[in-house]
Amino acid sequence: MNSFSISRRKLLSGSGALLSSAALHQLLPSASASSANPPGLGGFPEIAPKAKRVIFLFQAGGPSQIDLFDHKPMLKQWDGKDMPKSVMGNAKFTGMVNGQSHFPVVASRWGFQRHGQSGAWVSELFPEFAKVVDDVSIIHSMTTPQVDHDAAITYLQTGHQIAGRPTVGAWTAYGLGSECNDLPAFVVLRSEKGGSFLVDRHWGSGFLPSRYQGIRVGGSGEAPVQYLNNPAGISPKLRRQTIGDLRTLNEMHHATVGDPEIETRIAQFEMAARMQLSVPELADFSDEPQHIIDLYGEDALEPGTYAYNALMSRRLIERGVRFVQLFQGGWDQHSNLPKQIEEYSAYTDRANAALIKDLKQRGLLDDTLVIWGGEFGRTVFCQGKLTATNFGREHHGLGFTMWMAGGGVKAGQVYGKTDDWSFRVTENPVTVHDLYATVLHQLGIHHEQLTYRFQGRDFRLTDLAGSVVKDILA
Amino acid sequence: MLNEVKGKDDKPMKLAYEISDRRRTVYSFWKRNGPHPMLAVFDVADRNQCDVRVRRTNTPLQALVTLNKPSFAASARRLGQRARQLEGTDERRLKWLYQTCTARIPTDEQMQHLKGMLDDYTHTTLGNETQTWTALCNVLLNLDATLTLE
Repeated sequence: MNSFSISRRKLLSGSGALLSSAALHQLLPSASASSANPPGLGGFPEIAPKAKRVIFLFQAGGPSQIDLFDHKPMLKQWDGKDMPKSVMGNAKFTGMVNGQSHFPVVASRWGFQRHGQSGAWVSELFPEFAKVVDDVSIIHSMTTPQVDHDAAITYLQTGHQIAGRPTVGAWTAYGLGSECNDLPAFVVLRSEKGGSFLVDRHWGSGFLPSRYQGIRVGGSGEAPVQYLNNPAGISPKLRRQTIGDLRTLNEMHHATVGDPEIETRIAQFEMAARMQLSVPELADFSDEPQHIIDLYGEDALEPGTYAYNALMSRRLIERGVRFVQLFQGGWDQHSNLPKQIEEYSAYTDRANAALIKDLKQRGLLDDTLVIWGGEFGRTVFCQGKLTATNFGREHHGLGFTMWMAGGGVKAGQVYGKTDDWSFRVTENPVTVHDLYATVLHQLGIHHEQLTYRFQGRDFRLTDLAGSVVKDILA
Repeated sequence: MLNEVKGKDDKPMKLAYEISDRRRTVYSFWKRNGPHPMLAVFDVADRNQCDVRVRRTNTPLQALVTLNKPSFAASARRLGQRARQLEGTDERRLKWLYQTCTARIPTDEQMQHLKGMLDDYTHTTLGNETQTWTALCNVLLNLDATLTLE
């Protein structure tokens, strides 16, 4: 077959583009369609990687850092009183609090305690997570400029608020390829419980070739992937023959028209055929011993739950998948926060801790980077009516909490600080671009070197910003 | 009537129509946060904002739909029936099929390969004509030249 493929656009754009690593990749014979997963770019990892793979536990909606991690005892004195204008400043919020003339402070209703050797504060909402704080780096000083869900999710996923750029998983798959040939390099899992604003492009490949986009597994609850079974009358042997013939005929077509997207299609059909065999085995949890099910909880046997997806994440990375992203909704608690946060904390806490323990006992935590966090946090002030038992919190991007574990990140650390109101960062701010400069660094990639030329310029995940947060690295 | 499906929490639901692989969707309701499942697999624009052009997308999940979804398999079976009803030789049938699917005339090399496929599939299915032609049409309907417009 003709693996020496080059698109018309690349050819016409001249030698400048040909020298970029992306173009070189197009010219390399190793980029042929013979592997179902694309290889990584030549030259990466360029620095010794501490992490080989990533599990990103995305908490969509914006979990309330004040009630979960960011302990602010001073707020007790202010509870129910209006937040001072001097603290509020000109912070921007969504239209949802436009009609509000009072912004009463709500101190967290949940108790906090120090845990582990590190003495990290964790709220009683996360009792299981509290037991693994010594394996985790908690970042209290995340910031994002976006306060609307879609723009903020897009910003956290792609480094830019407007849709169209590749997501972090797609960039990782593009740079590093995969260690696995019968599952996609970037796999997406969605929890069925909990509303969110997530759509497919939130794990898309943007302007990168579509073979790098996240592939969603376990969506329907009934089957991990739809249509894994051959239709009536097509036996496994016949299916193998048809996949081979599809390749041959597509290669003949490719030799005539030269469209590189045909190579993607050839690869995707082979991946589909491989997934027909690999996914049933992947989704068969009967080989998990009882102590593992006990660790994650009985939910882990119920497809579509957070615990199931957490266990599935481990199974995916064990099989060599490069980037797994688990999406959990339900954290957008504008009203009824007390009931909802208790519900979603209880729903996810055990599985978060179980995943860390499980990876650790298998020796996988050393080179697997686990990230927990949402697109923003929530405000110290109440949205809607504050009563003795009920309140809500508005979106807040000026300071919120994420945590990372494994993959060469310092264990048992608390990094960054917000003011007494958990409102603004006062120490060691971490932007989304800093986060990804750090994630890529752990994967062995200098974030300024991973680029893709599109519309006349080289784009990167960290846009024109980002510094590695060295202090959180072991 | 095959009009009972399992809804939320496995509750039986009655559909207003009979389930059939001959049905086609002409109009469908669009829900912002719940796009049509098959269109979602094909990464259709989500309507939250204006998309100037359709995003190019190509995933193994899409390949599984066009290879294995019963309605796509039914199309292959029916196309195979139409080919077998044609007068003349298998060569004429294969040529008609290739041209019908891709709007291109097959090259000699492609014809050679199609004939080889027919022999192989006949052998694998122990001479079952329906299975042979269904598999052959399943391949032709999944070719890049069939699925995309160059």
